[in-house]
Amino acid sequence: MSRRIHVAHYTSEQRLLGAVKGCRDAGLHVLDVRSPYPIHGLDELVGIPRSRLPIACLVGGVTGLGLATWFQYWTSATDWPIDVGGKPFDSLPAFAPVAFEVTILLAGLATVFGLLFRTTRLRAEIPEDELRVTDDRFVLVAVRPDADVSDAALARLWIATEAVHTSEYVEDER
Amino acid sequence: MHTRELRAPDLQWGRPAISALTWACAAAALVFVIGLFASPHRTWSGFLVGFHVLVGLALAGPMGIAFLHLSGARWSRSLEVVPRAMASALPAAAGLGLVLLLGVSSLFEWSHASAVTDDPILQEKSAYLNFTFFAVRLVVIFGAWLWAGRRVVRASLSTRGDDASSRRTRLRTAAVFLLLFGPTWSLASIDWLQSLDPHWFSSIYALLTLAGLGVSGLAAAVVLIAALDTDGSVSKDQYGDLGALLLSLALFWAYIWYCQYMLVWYTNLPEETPWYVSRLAGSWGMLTKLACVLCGALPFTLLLFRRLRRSRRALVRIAGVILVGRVIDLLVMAGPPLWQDGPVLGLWELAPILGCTGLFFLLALRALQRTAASGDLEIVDDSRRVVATSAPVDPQPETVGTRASA
Repeated sequence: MSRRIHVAHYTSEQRLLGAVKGCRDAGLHVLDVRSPYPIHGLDELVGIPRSRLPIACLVGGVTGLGLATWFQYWTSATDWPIDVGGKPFDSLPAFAPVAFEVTILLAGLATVFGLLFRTTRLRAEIPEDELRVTDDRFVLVAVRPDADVSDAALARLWIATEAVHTSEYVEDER
Repeated sequence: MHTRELRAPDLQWGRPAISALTWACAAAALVFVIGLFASPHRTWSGFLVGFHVLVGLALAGPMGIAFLHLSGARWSRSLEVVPRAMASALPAAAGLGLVLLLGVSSLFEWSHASAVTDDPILQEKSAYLNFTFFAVRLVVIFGAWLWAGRRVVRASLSTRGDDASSRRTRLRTAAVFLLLFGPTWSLASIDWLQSLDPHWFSSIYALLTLAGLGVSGLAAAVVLIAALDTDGSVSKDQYGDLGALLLSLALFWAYIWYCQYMLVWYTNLPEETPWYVSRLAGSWGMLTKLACVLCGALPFTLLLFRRLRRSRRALVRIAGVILVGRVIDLLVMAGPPLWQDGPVLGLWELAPILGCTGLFFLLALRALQRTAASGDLEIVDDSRRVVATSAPVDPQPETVGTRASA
């Protein structure tokens, strides 16, 4: 079995959204969309499941909070206590700013590296004429169920949705 | 169409609410007048807290619109009817500001000649803290807010389009309002709240009251938006955006609160610590902690959950918690100099506090109902509209007809 995958390029957000609806109505399954910027409501329209990045963010944040609080406590109250202005060694209020910043730092880093990890693992060869996928084009990737949609209907769909570039790939099922 | 408009009949529930609020406000006003004779100091103290609640919520209207216009926000354009309604309470706030002038001698230590003559610090400060200058500032401040706020509201009302001239009008009025609002809000916070402790000062104080205004104002807006949304015309996305904004403002308030607290705690200077010493001990301490939980910790934790952020019911409850927390927060900020024997919440305090809060909601609801009656009230889901208007390419029947022919 093999899948026939269609890629269509568009020049605007509106056309892409219209094309997603058009594809669905025509019986194509929209696999993915690419856009230079996030588009409101697109995820739900395409049916892309919710990102799990917030989990990485939360784990990073909690780790940062715990690590920073523990480290400050250990340095100032256990390992090398110094009397600062007569404050108790284990003064939590003094630890809060650093703990807050490290929480944000690790939450941010976890999110960024989580994203990089996920996306680089999905890296693939991009054919020469699809390179603008990573630049300024709004791109739609759809799977065509066998024998359900005719070539002529597909051509009409691309014209009706004002696609500026289309191509077709055949992917062997592994 | 995917869009739904809110019509006047949808606001039917508003009529009994408005008449109930009118009666409640009238009763509160009566109790307030009686209280002025029975227990003037307590009544004025409660009035000051209520006044701050009303001013903050009313000002949050034009301020919110100004921020949204300045940042070019599109998601909220359909919801701006609510902050516009909130702004309609601003003239009443100005009126109460004039009433406040009558209570100055009952509230502010610096207004007593005897207190000033014995106190070198207050003598130095009397060039600024005297009744005449106080009254002039109050009039100027409210004048600036009313004038600039009106322009912002009018820009929000008249410029629906996305064309260049509408956008320019929105930007200009918003910028003028915020430029005036910054310094005047700072003066107002110092005059009407910080000068209750005339020996004490904090350079972050106006930012702290601003953060409180922001979080409570958005909470009130959320309550009003949800009250209008009787038929699901506000999308989950829009609630999600409001919830995220509420989350960030609650965090902002907690952050600024802690900034002020930590600097005072760290330096431990005798002219700075009394403000916290009196507010962190005993019953005041309980109220301070309660305010921190209700305005900061609880909403922050709950709003982290996307499901709660996007749910109308949960969001309204969280907003209600924040509003209660805000009243307690203002009570504590005004607190110890006014109720020197610890917090008291009796009839004389509650009547003006609840009366002013009720007055705000009464005026906002009336404004909404007026807008509804003029047929101009619409809450349109913008996110859905984008999809709907992107239909120049809506598939023609013949385009997709292959299915039938195949």
